[in-house]
Amino acid sequence: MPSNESTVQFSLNGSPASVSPGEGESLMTALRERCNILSVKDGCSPQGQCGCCLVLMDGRAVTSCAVPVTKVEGKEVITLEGVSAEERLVLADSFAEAGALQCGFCTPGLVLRTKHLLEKDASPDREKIAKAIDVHLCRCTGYTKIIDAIERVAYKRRGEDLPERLANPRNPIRRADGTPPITAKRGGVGDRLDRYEARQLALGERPFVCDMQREGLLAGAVRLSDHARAKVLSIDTSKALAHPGVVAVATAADVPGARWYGLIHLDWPGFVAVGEEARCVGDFIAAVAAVDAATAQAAAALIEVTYEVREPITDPAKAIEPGAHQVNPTRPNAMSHTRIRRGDVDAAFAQSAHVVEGDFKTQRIEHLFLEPECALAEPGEKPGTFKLYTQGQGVFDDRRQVAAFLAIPEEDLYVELVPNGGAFGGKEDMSIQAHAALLAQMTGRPVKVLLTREESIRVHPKRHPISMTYKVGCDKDGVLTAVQAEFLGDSGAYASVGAKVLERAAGHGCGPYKVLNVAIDAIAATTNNPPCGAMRGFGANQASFALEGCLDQLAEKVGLDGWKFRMLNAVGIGDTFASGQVFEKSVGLKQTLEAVREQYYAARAAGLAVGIACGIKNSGIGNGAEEWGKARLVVEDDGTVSIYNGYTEMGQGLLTVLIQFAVEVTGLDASLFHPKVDSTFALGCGQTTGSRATLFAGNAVVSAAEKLKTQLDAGKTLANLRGEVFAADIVINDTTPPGPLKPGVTKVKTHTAFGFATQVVILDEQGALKKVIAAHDVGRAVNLSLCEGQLEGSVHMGLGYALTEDLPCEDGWPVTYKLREIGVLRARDMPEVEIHLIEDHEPEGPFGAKGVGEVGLVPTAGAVAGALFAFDGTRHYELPMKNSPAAKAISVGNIKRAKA
Amino acid sequence: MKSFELARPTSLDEAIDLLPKGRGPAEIDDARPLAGGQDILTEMKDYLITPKRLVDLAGVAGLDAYQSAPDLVLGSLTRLARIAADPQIALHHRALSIAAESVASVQIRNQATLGGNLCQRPRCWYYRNESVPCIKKGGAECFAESGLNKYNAIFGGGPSYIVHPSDCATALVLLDATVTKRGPRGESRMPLEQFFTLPSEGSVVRENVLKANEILVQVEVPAPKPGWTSTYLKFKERESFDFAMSAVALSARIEGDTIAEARMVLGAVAPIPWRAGEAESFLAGKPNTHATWKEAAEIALAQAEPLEHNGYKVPLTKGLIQKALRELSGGESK
Repeated sequence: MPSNESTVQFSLNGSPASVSPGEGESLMTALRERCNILSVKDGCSPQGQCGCCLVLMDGRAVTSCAVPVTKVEGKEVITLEGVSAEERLVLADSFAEAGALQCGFCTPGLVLRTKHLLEKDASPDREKIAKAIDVHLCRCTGYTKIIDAIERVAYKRRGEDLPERLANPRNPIRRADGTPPITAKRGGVGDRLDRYEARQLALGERPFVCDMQREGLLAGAVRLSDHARAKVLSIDTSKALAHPGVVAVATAADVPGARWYGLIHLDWPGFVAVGEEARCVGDFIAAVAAVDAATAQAAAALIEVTYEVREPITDPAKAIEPGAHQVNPTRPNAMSHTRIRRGDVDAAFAQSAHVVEGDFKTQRIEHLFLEPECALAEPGEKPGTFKLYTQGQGVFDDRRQVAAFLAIPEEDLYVELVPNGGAFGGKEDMSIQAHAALLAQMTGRPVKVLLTREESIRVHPKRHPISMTYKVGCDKDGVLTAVQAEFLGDSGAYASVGAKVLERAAGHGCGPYKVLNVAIDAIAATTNNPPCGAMRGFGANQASFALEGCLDQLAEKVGLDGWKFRMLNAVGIGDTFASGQVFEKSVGLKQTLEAVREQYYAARAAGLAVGIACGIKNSGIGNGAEEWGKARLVVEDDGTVSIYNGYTEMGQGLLTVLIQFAVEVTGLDASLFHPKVDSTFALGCGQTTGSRATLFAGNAVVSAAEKLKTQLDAGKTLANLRGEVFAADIVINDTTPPGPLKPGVTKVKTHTAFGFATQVVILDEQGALKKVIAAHDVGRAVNLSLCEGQLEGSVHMGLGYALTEDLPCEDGWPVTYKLREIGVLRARDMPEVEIHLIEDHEPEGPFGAKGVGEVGLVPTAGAVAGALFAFDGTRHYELPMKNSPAAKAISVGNIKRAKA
Repeated sequence: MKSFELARPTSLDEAIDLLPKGRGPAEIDDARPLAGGQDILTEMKDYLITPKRLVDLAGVAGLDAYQSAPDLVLGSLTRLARIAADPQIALHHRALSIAAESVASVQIRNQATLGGNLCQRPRCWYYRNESVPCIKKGGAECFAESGLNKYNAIFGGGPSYIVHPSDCATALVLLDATVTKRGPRGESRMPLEQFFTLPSEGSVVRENVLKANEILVQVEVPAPKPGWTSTYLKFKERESFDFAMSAVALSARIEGDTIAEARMVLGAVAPIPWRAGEAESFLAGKPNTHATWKEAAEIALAQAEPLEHNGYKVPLTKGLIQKALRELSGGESK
């Protein structure tokens, strides 16, 4: 036990504080666990590389995870909780008004930074602000709006009026039909409504799962496999159980129900059992519940595991060779093979004036959501029931899988979404939800399991590295004739949704271009690498990079510039998608090309290197999946209206746009609506994925709100309607799977809707990023700020994908866990991003909207590659393009290798 | 800037008594000596350090020694402007004269002291960003190693990759200067070359052996041996005034067509003034020709280990070395 000698005394937000820290404890841990300071977030401890845990220590802004608490003895520590009420208001308002936050996990650190920066420098310019926030990593926003917010605070502090560009931001909307932009009603569709709970998020007051407290709460820790491939011979938990403070240790032997889970295939064990093989370095061997996190982690390390270490299969090409060791016992290594055939590619190539071929390769990408995986489970009021607080992208999938794991009926597991600190696809699969629940079941106490950043990187699925062989032809005028492609994706040890990612890559293999002859094959291979699954773009990004590279080469052969070549081949109404679906509505691609034309040619005329690419991304999973939108509007006793739906808020802004739909329909004030995601109602819709939540949940909310509106129109008030539930379930079951149509079905419709984009990347005289122009057909911009924010954030992620982001693995192990090395761009690395929105009404979407979550980074890498070719004549076939002047000008992404 | 106590002692012992009692880095924030204030005040404004007390050395007797050439004695409070303006120094210790004049701007040289110049902290922007928990500030890693390292070390790096920013240090190591420091246990003298420490050798959070409770008293430079001349070449990104991207301090004794002896110290390429010993040995007794200069430059840079963004320092420094040799040869080779 800590003795008095180890007591650290300091001033915390103006009051004396005294803590008795554990060995090596950081200031961040002491603040969060001993002082109940929860505005300080743990994004990467102990790296000090994300800025989420920023505090002021004797006036100095420090990342508190990198400061041992013993160093604060006698010092003065200020957190957001200790900032004056007036100042908090200005800070929170400015961030909310500027749309400067999405998931909100990094925001409290940035808000405190703002205060600190402006006290030193009352009027910093944007470049200075970008440098000042270098310590802070934001994965959502692309930083533009964060810098806007900091500028807003600066103007307000100086008592000056906001300049026009901040007070009334440029309206980026053009209606595809040439009509003037629709005037939005306050809080309705098209308004810049502040994000739901933005102010609480900005100040760190809205708890994430990791912030939740319970009486008698235990902390969980996990023990992961020590090898990428090894047979587990024995697991000895006796030392861990004997460790003081440990309450329970769980292994495969303790799982009462279905130990294997998975979104599509049940091929992923919650624990690897003795006698089985561990298949990747993220496999779970055991989990520990103890009185605090440090004790649980120490005990997890005491678990003795003996292995028979085996050679991991890490090369996807070798994995699918005949005779290769079968990595996952449930299925062959070639997990899936998607095949698309239209027309006659051989004949088309034979008649083509120009044909180019290329082998392209993309890298494994870490989502790097700022909030690592965390789940809290506790016994329910009724014996045998449990509550699970999760940050997953599909709480009903979590419920189904966890209930089966615990061997309890689904009704006995109440699941509530706690909107997460970023996901981007990386929180679709189960991570530690089942482990938290099992430990709660074993101990009868609430248990919270939080992964460290390193564990998080080992556990959750990544973006697929895909090798692509492309062959593309066109006639003498530049009209595309045929596309032939073969994809091989490394899907890692578990299925996740990897087969679907390769299916989507194949389906998007011709991009948004008219191609009549298509032959595409895509194989998802199983290896002992970390699993790969969903990540924003879902296969479309990889295919786009390769295809756009081929188009640039064809354009050069024909003698057309990139813009003209793409305009010539761009799809419109009546043209056919790679899957065979004929576009019938909301195809704003050509308008996005028109939107960038002037600047594209102006930059070329100015002698700058310019690249251009187009993108397409399905909105809605489609491909034959039955999809749902489900909503319940409940009039509460206090006269507010709860909006229940089955999809997840993860920073993208779903809950905010659902409010806007309800406002638009009912005319009620936005403040009356409170969105909720839990299992009160059976609203299971599967994962929040495929840019579909706005589309489907939106339609359901519109439909439910119309029922409420009927009552209001009949003279009822909310007070009269207390306790009433307005329900709407909508189903989409008219999409068709790839391949031959079923008997009786005559029309190919693989997806409900599509987003379209054109992006232009301009480099400066040194070949560094100068400007990105992103023009997107979004159907209808439901919330202008959020829509811009999605695209700015996408471009940020796309630029990282193009230039610096990578998570290479050696022998199945990620070679780094450091945030700067993984290569997500910092504010100083971001060029100016200019957004243009085209509204080409989507008749199947709510008020004409369609999903915008993913398409924003589909074309980016291709456009960057084009600009780099224009700069120095180098064609790039591999991502990331680290060996380019644009990448070298960026402050991150250089992976430090251990010196030989 | 955080508020602090300003102590104004009049004697060295009094000043030392006002400095931290402990010697280690943990105490260094308790109190710091203040000389010209040109570096420490910017560090305090940026919250890199938050000393509770500054011990102003301006009124301390015994730090203002000044004996001009040929045997130089320079108290640590000597202003750089005075060194730069001294014709005797320009005559006998030309490298120091040029180096002192190359520091920053005239306003800064009027205020900055020699002691402060030698003890100034690194310019690495990760170090200068208060929130980056870099190894120089007690953190776990050097962010420059894999980050934006255009201005960082090509020699002697690891675990920190800073370069020493002092021009005078490079020149004074060349000129075989001796430094005197004083602490609670009295005075000690050492060659200036041993005063500076590599991050892998000494404490990674310091650049020299000076303890938290010690004060640099004075620097002595011996009169040049007969026949030796010296120079200092500094390459700056900004012509008006700036820190060096690379610098070469060179002295040599040239006899006719032969370089009899030479000494070479490189600046802004390593965490300490970087002695190019192998190039010195090579030059001894070599014909004073273009080919020799070129080979000396190659040898001096042979062991360089550039990082991602500072590979330019290798050819740049080679060029400076050849230029310096040419200069000491009176223009062209024979």
